[in-house]
Amino acid sequence: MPSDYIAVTLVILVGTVVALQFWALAKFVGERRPSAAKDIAYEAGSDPVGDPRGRFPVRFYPLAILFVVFDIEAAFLYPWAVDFRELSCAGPLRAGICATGISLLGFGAALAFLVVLLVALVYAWRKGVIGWE
Amino acid sequence: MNTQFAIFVFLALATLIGAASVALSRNIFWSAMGLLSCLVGVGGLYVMLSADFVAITQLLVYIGGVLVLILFAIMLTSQIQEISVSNRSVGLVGGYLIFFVVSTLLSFVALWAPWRLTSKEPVANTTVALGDGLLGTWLLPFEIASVLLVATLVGAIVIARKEVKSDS
Amino acid sequence: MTITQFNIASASWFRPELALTAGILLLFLLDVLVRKQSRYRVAVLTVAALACVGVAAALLAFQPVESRAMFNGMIASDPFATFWKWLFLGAAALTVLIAARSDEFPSPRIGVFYALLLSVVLGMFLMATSLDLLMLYLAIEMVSLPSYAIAGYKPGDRRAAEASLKYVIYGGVASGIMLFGLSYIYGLVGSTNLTALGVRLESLAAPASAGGQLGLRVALMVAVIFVLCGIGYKIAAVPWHMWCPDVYEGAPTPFVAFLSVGPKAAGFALAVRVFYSFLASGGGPEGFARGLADVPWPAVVGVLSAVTMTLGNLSALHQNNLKRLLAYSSISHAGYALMGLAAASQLGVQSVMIYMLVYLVMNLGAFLAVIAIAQATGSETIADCNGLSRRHPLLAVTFAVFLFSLTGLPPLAGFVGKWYLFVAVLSHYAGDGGAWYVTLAVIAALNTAISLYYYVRIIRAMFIEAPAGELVVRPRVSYQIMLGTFSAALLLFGVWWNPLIEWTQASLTFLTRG
Repeated sequence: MPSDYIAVTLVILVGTVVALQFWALAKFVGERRPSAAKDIAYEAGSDPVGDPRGRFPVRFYPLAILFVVFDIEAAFLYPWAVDFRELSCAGPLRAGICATGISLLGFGAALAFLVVLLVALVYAWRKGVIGWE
Repeated sequence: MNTQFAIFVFLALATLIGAASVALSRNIFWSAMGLLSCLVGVGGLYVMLSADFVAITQLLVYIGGVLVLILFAIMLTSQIQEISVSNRSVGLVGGYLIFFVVSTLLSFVALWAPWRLTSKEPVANTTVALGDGLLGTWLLPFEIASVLLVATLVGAIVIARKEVKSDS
Repeated sequence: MTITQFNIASASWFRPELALTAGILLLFLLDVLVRKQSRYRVAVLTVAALACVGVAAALLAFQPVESRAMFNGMIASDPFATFWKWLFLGAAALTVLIAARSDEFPSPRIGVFYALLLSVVLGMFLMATSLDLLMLYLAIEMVSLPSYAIAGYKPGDRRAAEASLKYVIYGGVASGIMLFGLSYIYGLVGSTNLTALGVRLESLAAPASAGGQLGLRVALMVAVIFVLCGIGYKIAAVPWHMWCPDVYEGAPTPFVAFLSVGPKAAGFALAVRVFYSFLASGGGPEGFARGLADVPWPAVVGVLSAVTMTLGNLSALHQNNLKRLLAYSSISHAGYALMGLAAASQLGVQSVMIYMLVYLVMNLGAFLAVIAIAQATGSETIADCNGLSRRHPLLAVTFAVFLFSLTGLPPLAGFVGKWYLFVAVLSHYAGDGGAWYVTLAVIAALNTAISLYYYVRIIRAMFIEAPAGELVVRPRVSYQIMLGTFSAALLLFGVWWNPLIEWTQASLTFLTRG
């Protein structure tokens, strides 16, 4: 139903307006007295070291990949979790109650999925992708 | 109805302009931002098709994950602005020619093909339906996807670790 | 039977694939558990990889012969698929044996290679069996993604990085285009099941308006051509072949040997299944000729075949690097095998099967010879073969056998493969478009002559040129055994080809349309 998204749209709108409003207030209302000290990038009070646009070390990359893989895993598991009650029932649910006995198949299928991905985690961990030396 | 159409046009424009700026921008950081606009637009289109869970997944995986990965990759590269194009074998003329022919063809198909339209009511609870599908009819692709994810992750580690070693 | 019961029942027919999956996971674990310093590391990992292939093969031998769809129509279990699975397992086992003694996989990095190789094999199993558009796409990705990683395996090598990058970009574009084509098919038909697609496409009500009819035709043409992109890229047929030489040059040679036979064969298995499921128009494979959207698809495949073999062979003429030469030669061989598909008959499918089987042995053999030469000389050019017959006669003779077999000269098995392709094409000479089939056969014959030229260049270097210096060429014992066995097999099946015919004949039943 499109009407379900009114709240979401409102949040997005409010968020955008608030952000823009701070920027606009500072730009149009605020007074500007630039000085050399104010132009320095703020780095916890001390003088900045090096160029902020420097290159990242490549070791961030495997971490980012790891994040994407487990992000996808979460996306796959979410429907399973929502549907868990129905999947765990051998027959159809009647008014939310399972009368036909428990089935472990839904659980087992997701478990197989998880065990396979666990191997990926073990591999990444043992190869030192997660640690930082 | 009219509001819906206006929202659709807005989302479609966000998608198209984003996609065009990915291809045309000379600064790969702006290309990534164009991709953001494109992915958000597609996510919005999913919402309009009543595919709410797919839309959330789009947000979670593509914008939260893949786009972040791409930004990381951009931060790893040495030249963000004014990329030098080393292969100029296909000139602008050829590129525009291919673009116009293919886009004309695809627009023609989109407008004239007898698409199989259904007038079913939208599924009320798409997440449960997806859960049923993933662990029922589509169980094999679901399980194979996990093996594919493992192989991909390990492959990425193999490629990246190689560089980590040569870095240090 | 409910969906769940069907899934459970299918699992017992899925045992070879389950064994492969378990093997992949086991190898990943072994790779991190066996110590890097251990002297037995390579031996342990190799034995584990071979054991996994062996278990899968043993379970495959018990696979029942009747055809059935499994996992709610996701994949098929039929004799056709079993044939290709044997071929894939054979290629995998031989590649493991070659890689174990190769210099390109140092002991710390070999475990991952085996595991990724087996994932590619699992993907190829799924490619040869998939009955559903989604499964088909997933299978192609399963073959492609680990391959990208292995192509860039050599650390600190620019050519390896280039190979990997080119492979990723070409592969990504090809599979994206294919996915778009699949979405058109789903949009027109409303089903992703290959067995249902053919029937549904035929009963697709023709729209009343002329614009609608044209729209349907153009949509189907675009969809099929886009799907062709994905398959053509996997078999390296001509408009989609550009990645091939660079990837072959930069990737580790044992993997290239596998890449040139395994995924190519899987691509042909997939092509046969896809083409006969929805490009055929009822009445079995013989009805293939009456095309979808009124396009004569066998003619399209025939043109692709002619262009592929000609361009592959002409580009191979000027290559001096052996791997690049074999890359172009593998493109031209994809062109020959496409002839069988263009023939659009039972015989055509059978000839593709025979050809891929023979091609597996001769191309693996040729790459093995290249590996042996590169191990001795450090590079892979034709000049490195100079005077090989005096340095190591066995290597030179077996390499010559592989090259003659690749050309298709009797009495080698390569001749049998080519002979059946020609028979399949020429059996159409009296029928519709017979002149075109004869033209295709003539082009293939001319190409065989061209290919003889560059294969003989290598043979000339080995037998006539004088060796450049005092260099000892002594291939590993296991390589010598394999070289001997491969060429003996090519000679044996070149004169006694009945088993090949009987096996492929028995494997010709497969699920196409429901």
